[in-house]
Amino acid sequence: MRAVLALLLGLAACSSDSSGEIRTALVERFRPGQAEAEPAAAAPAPLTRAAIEATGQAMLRARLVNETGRSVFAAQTANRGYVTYQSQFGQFLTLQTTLVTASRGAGFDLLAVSATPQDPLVSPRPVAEWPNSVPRVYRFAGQGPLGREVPVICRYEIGDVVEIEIVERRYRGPEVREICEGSGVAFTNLLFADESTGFVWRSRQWLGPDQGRIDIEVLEPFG
Amino acid sequence: MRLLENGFRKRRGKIVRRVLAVAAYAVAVGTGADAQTYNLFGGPGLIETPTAEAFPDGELGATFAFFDRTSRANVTFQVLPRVSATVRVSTQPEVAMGPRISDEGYDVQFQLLKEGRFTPALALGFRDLLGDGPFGGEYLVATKTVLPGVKLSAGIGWGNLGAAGGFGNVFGLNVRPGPTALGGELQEDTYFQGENAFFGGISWDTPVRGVTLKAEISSAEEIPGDGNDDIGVNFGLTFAPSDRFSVAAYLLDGETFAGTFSLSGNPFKPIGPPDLGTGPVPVLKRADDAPRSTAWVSPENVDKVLTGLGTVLEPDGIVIEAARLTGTTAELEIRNTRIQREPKAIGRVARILAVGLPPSVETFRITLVENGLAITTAVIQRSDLEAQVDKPLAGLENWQTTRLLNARAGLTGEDVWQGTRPPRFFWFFNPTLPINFLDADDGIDPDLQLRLGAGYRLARGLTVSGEISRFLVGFDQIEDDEVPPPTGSLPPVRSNLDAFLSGRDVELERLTADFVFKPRPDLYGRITAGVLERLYHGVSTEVLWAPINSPLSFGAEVNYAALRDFDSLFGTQDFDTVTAFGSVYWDTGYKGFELQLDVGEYLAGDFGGTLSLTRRFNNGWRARAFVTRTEASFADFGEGSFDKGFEVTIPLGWALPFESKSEARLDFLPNENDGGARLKIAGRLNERIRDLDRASLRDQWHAVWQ
Repeated sequence: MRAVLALLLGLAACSSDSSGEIRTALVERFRPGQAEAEPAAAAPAPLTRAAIEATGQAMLRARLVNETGRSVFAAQTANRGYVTYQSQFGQFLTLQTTLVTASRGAGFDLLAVSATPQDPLVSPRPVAEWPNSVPRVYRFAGQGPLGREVPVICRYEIGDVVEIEIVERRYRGPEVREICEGSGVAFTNLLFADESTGFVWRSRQWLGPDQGRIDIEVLEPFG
Repeated sequence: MRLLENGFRKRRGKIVRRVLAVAAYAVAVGTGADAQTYNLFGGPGLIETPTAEAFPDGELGATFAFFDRTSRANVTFQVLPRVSATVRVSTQPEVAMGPRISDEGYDVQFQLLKEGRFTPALALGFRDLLGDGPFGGEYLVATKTVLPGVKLSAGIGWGNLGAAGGFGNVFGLNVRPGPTALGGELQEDTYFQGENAFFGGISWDTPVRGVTLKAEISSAEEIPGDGNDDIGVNFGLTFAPSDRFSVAAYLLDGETFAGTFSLSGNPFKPIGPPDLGTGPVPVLKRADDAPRSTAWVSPENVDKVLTGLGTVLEPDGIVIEAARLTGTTAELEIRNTRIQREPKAIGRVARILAVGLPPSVETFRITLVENGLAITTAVIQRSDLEAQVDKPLAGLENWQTTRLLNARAGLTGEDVWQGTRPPRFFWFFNPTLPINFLDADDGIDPDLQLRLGAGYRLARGLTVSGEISRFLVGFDQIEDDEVPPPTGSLPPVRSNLDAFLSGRDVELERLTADFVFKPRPDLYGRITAGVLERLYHGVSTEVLWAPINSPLSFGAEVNYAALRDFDSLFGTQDFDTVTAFGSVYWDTGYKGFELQLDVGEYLAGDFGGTLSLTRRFNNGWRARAFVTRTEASFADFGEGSFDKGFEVTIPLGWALPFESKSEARLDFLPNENDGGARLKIAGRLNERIRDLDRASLRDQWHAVWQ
């Protein structure tokens, strides 16, 4: 990949508007910190429950499944039930309750997701009351104002009850496999739903065929 | 006898009409099955023979094949989900053990049926559709997956594909006449005639990643006219370490080794993640009780707000050139220097305005300016933006509520805030890969040319700029007294190009003063004067009427051109001319296809027209094919009969993990002949505005929320 990009960079048409940006961005992308010599930042302090509560904000912690680092996202806006969270690196996630409906800046944007009010990630309720299946439409960059639409049907497989910890808080509930298929794609989301409320505190959700899944922990829910 | 002949003609006509009808069907219907490998002719297939598969829509592949004394370079484009086209140049012995000759070919394949659960895919194809060359042939082929990874293909071929193992024509047309039309023209009187033969084979995607084994029975004649009409039995192995590169080794007839390597790219599959970087600013609805007073408006506050907006937009490469801010309306003229999809730039500006302006400002008028030309204004209501943000159908809803207008020439008045004008001096560096595909002497002739340009903006719309070039690879330079004489009666207006490329290491490609202007919002004008191109000095004038909400636009161009001297920079030869064209541009609204028709008088005085078909992908890829027909006769025009070509423009953002508006263009050049030759003028008006017309913005409007 790096060799290909280096070759392309060598061949790239450039101009007084763009050449510096291209080089800087490429260096920054693949040799982080070496584009400009800057002192190494101090290691971040470990996240504590007290620190989360002190912010008074809804917060998430998220990690792309094929990467190692986790980022904390803080709620920035809420519009008609859609809450947008921002990381310190300028990446954004929009969630409708606990369903990821958009991502920005992570590589391949998930433009939007349409879900129904019956969707248990949108309207939490005990797992026993979840419908057998729900429809969704995922939207990605494509031709036209709506982009490329990928309708899927998702069904559920309820697993064992387990206990998890998210920054000093413990939750108990079943692991649920959300199996989605349609439009030539198939993927499985993993959900941890609270035993009594069905609220999904932790999940691995699909962001698209190119982006893969994201692992999300709800540190402090919105509202 | 005459009756019989007429009967045959009618029958041939019926067959051709039916074939064209099923081909049209393939153009019209939906997606096809994806092919994995290229054959020796660059099309979807096994080794020599075709299969009924299709490559992914938009796929562009280059295949280079070598065997015995033959080499082929093929470029294949999946024009539509079920239609692929190939441009090829091959060099092979004219007869067995004879001298090698070069020959060009144009192939097309229509997938009539895609593979079903129980039914095979079916395709109809033509090799060397326009030529009088040795590989001309037609075929009907079926392909079916019989086991996971195992595909069987079988077909019937005519022409070269009916040469080995042939039997009586299934239509009763047993005699295939020689070429009935000139090279470069349709040979409709020969299609599906003469002996036909069966071919077929098998491919197996082995458990070893990327390795495919193939075997086939081929009815094609490898070296036409060598007298060997035995059915070929070929075996091979293809190794594809990635979906963009593959190599293959074949054994033909048990005695000849062949090798290929293929490169491919697809507009829909970017090499680098396209959306890395910071996301857009989140938009929050204004509070219902937010004060809407306009008392805040004062020159100081306006300056403070707009300066702040400019600072916030800078990281995205968006520059505010001018603005007017009233209590209820914000008008901005912006220059987008980096973001490849213009709606994304519009959306980012609108979001910043929604977050940063006082609540009383309701209307955003965002005008996109390119090289001093204000082109399109997007009018967005802030309350619409607030109502749509984050919603699942926000892209569509925003498109429906945004008004697009032809921009006025520029903001005027004392209350206009002057932002950052583009730097007066600018430069650019651009390696190009001009590939002369149709060189009858040398076959494929790849060159690498470096171009360095610089310019100075004297005023808005008025620029002086120039380009110099140097060939790093390729191009046999010749002296001007070695230039071959023109083949016909036309004056040598382009055929003497080689002489212009000799004598100096660095060539002056262009040195012009350009003035672009807008007499009214939907009318554009351009005047260009100086060294217009490598061969001509002159003056070029153009007007373009392009109402933004119409799929049609119309242009006219009148040029005076004087032939440059071979050796001196600014001298002229004893030839000058006036050319004039009328142009129509039509956005078909179908899969990004645009048609352009130019009609007028070309450099050599021949009258005619050029028809261009361009497919524009929403991520900036463009593929353009064109043909030019003029009153110039075949003798005047020479090899190829008429001018035709194919070019692909690839945005570098497709390959790089960050935003860039830079592009790379691959030209598969037509003959440099005198018939149908037109001035090569940089920055024609349609090129300047087409990324900002309604159709282009609509195709990319999903990005407005990115």
